[in-house]
Formats: sequence, structure tokens, C-alpha cells
Amino acid sequence: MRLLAVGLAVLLAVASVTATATPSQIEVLAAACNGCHGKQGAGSGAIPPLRGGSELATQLRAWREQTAAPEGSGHLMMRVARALTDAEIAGLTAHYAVDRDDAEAEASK
Amino acid sequence: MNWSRRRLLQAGLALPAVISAQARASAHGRVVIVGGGFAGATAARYLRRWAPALDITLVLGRRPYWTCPFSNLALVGGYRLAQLQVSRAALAAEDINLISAQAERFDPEKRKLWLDDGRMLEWDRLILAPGVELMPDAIEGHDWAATGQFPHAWQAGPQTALLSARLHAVPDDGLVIISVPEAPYRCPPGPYERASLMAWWLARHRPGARVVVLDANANFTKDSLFLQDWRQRYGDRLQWLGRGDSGALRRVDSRRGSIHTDFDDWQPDLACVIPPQRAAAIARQADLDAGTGWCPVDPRTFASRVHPGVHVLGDAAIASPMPKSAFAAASQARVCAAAISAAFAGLDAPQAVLMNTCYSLLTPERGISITGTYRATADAIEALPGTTGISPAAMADDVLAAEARHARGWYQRARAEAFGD
Repeated sequence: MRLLAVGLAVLLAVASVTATATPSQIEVLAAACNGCHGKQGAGSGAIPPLRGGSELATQLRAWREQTAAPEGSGHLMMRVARALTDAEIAGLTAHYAVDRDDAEAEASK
Repeated sequence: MNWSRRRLLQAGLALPAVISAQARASAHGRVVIVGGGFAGATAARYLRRWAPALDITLVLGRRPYWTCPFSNLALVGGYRLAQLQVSRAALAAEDINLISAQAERFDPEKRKLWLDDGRMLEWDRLILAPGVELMPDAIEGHDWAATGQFPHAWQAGPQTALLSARLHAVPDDGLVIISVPEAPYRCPPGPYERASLMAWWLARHRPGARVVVLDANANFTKDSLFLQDWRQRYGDRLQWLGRGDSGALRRVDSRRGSIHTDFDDWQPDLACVIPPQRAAAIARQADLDAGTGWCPVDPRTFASRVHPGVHVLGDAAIASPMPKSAFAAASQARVCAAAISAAFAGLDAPQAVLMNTCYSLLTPERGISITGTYRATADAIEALPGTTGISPAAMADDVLAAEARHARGWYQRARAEAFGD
């Protein structure tokens, strides 16, 4: 049990190093999202936060296919979503799911 | 999935990146950035995040910095000028060396930059993000001294205060002229947002006054939306004259305060003359602009086509079809920071995703936007199909209001991201 705890501590330290390393493809893409949607997608004023999970993926796909429109906006995200591949939508969804957990873990400290 | 399992999974997936992070940490690199606007400051902060071992120096110039975004709103009282001024305290707290001096010249082979206080900085990578130089002298009869008579307010600050004061002094039956230079220039929709907000203010406070936009261009960004809105709100009290309607400014007379085009002579109560522009002087050193006034770059990394160890970001760079906007500049800065951090780590640059959105206010509470998403190839910046476009023409009033709120949300965020302020 103690060994597991030590191992976890090492991995946690490693994870914190990688958080500031050369960015992956998805991290560069997420930085573009965060340019409007706030640090870690937390939202900025009237611009809504990004929450990971299936809802984000469903919305992005619907806007990309133009089968739904974002509520209360000038349809800007319907154009932005057209830039995204399926793999990128999956990557961003996972990214914001993890980031959200981290942000909430930070907030609950 | 519980928190620790997710952490374990995340850490496990990230192991190969750990090795490169350690390799990078042992490589000491020096990056010098010239220009403390949206491009330079965003680049500095993303480099600090993505390449923590780098020695990063940001050369800010000698003047305080007021953001150009939202400076049009400051003309009509929607923001105070002091609110547009940014603090650099957060940058200093992130171990970014700040220098308040002017960059004068650099040597791309010796990798040295000289400042106007005699100091010399050595670099492994130089990032130039100095913005534009205004050229009032390019207009017959005009010069820097006459920018007091014909305010440009195209670099925010004292000129913004001057133009605002002059607007407030316009008489009730007054004539205001805004003259727009031939593209490219900083902030393509800026002159038209300015016309919108000035007309909005005049309609409330000087209902007999009118605004004429004299434009050296035949069309402009979001023109259908602006022109439709102007007709509805102001009728003939806001008039646009393009190149084909003798809109191009030929000469000013600062003694008489008059404005002249090929066929018309105007005697306005206020003339806001936006001068032609080119890349600021430091970005035209060492033939970096290849004699064109703007700097050609590899859009995957924003490395100069002329001197690849020098990167050029923001308004000074040729990044068409991206406009010269703060949003585009920050997007380019993130791509450049990712590329430089990868290069110091011995990795290939990640695929560059570039974005732009230009919000424009029609009134302080109503807005429209244009957006585009781009991928960079070795040769060009390509707009992705279907990603470029403007707000729909028949937007409901509540959607126009939402766009204005989103504009403010973007501004808060872009400031926080670039300056931590």
C-alpha cells in the first residue's frame, strides 16, 4: 500500500512536470479554444465555459454538421466547429474532462 | 473514474513527453521578444509555460501601453482610458525579464540586439512583435505635428483622449470625417466601428451632426452588416464614400483644417485621419521586410523567410488571409511559442492551428463579428472550408446584444491571457 502511495506521488510529480512541457497537438488546439473560453476553458464573462464529456462532443458535432445552432450567439461556433476533425473533437473532449477535474481538485483544496 | 486513477492514466500516457521535457530542461536557450502588445506578451507567457527553462526577455519600449481593442468605445465614454492601460506586473512575476527601452537594431548572424540605452542583448531566438508604424508624412500636407489637428488615435493612449475631447467639442450641426487608408492596415474593421460609435454618440448629443467616412478602399470587412445598420439607425447622417466615390484622401491642409480628395474639398469640424501604415522600424531592419514594408514569414512557425532565427508576429508580419488584429496576433504567438519550445526540445513543431475573430460594436451594446480558422502549410495560411464568415444579416436584436457581450468576454480573456491583467 505504501509502495503504491510512493508510486502515485512519483507519477503526480511527473504529471506536474509534463503540464509545462512542449505542448501536444491537442494542447495547442486547446490553447486556441482557451483564447476565448478562459483559462482551462473556465469561461470568460458571457463566453461560456467548456466542460468535457459527451455533451461537448455532441454539441461540436451538431454545430459542425449544421444540424443545431448554439443558443443566443451569432452562430460563430458553427463556423469554428467546421475546422475540427472527429479525432480533434475526441481529443478536446478528453482534454477538458481532465482539465476540469484538475481545476475542481485545485478549487476544492 | 476516480481522480487518482485518471491521474495515473494521464501520467502513464504522458511518459514519453517527460523524457523530452528533461532533455529540454538541460538546454539553456535565450529568447528575446521585442514588443509588449498582445503578440509579444502572449508569446512570452506561453514560452514560459511550454519551455520553463528558457531565459525570456521582453523589450517593452518606453511608453505605457493602452490596448487598441475597446479604444473606440473609450472615445464615447464606454471605457475610461485608464482602464485600457495594462500592467506588466504579472509578466515580471512569471520570471520574464522586462526591459523598458527601445530596440534599435539587430544582427541576425551574430544574434545580438541593441537597445537605445546602449545595452546589447544576445539571443538564440529573436521574436519581433513591434506592431505598425504610422506614416502621416505619406499624405500630402500632413506630418506628425499635424496629428494634433487631425487625430489618428490608431495607437491607443493620448491620441484616444485627444480624439474623444475633439468629438465632444463638435458643434450641433457639425461634420466629422474619418479617413481610411488603403489596406493593409491595423484592425481592418476598426474605422467602421469607430464611425458607428461616433455616430451613435452624436445622434444622442449632437443630433444635427453627421459623419462621413472617406475610404481609399472599394469595399471593407463586414461592409454589408455595417452599411445596413447605418442606413437603419442614421440614414444620411452617416455616409460612406469608397474609392469609386472620390473617397481616397489626397491632401490635407493643417492651417485651414481642410481635407481634399480627387474631386471634393471638405471643411470638417473634426477630421480623424488614419495614416497609411507599415511594419514598425525594427521589423524592417536587415531587409526583414524584403523591401515591402511587411515581413514575410513561414506560417508554421512565424520564422522570418529572410532570417529564420528571427520570428515576426502580429501586425508587422504578412499573415494574409489573417487580418492584423489582436486576436490574430495572440493566435500567432501561441503557434510560435509551441514551435520554439519544440525546437529547443529537438522536436518537430506541432501542427499550427490559427484563429481569428474580430468583433465590432455597432453601438456600445450591439455587436457583430467575423471569424476564420486556418491551418498553416509551408507556403501559405489556408482558411479551412466553411470556417470563415460574418454574423448573419438578419440577426435578432438579442443576438446582436449577445455578440456585444461576447466581445467584452473576449477582451477580458485576451487581456488576461497576454498580460495577466
